[in-house]
Amino acid sequence: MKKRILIVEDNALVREMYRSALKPLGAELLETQRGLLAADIARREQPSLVILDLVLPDISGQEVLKLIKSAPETARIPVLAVTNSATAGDEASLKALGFAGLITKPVNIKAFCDAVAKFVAP
Amino acid sequence: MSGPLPARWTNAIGQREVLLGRDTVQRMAEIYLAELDSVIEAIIAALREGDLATARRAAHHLGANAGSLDFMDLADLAQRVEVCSLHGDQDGALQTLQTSIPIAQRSASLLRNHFGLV
Repeated sequence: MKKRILIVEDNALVREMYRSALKPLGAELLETQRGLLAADIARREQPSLVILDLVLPDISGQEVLKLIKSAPETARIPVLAVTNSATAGDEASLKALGFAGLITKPVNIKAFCDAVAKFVAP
Repeated sequence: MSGPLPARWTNAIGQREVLLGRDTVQRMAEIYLAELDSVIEAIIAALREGDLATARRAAHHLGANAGSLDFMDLADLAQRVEVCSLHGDQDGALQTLQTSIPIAQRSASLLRNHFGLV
């Protein structure tokens, strides 16, 4: 069965970059620009990974993480935080919140693909 | 814009094209150009209204766009605007944004020249 990745990102340019960068992984990409929709999509689609921007138009990435981790159907899904150093804090703090890891913007494409591949490898 | 494209940026965008494909990078450039003026205007308007949360989000957007196309100077300045907004420094954010406007205009010229966009 094809693996799924849920991308929660409001920036169209960044989504365009993700689509191309992640194509070689062969995973199905699901996308939303709204944090409030992300937990519902995760519950319904059961992705192998969520890639989550921490700065969204409606709610913060940290709040999205809480929604995902507080529901039994989605609590096990790993969530990678994506943000710049102004917002990120340190990776240890994010991991303590429940994130599986941190990808810093501007995204290094190879490092990004390597980080994602760990969660969707066959 | 006149003069040759700066070698560092040309190399960096060339590497992006190798990794992502030229068509993808051109689509990214088109999005960048379509959004640039409105994002800067949104930051200015939000800062003038004292709406620092909106200014912060718009600066975050500008920084992500610029960084994704290897305009690292502009990405750094946008991040400084974001940090100033986060810490309530409205004047600092506005001053930093003013510094970034000519750099943003130059980035647009570089992309138009590189991809032959109008």
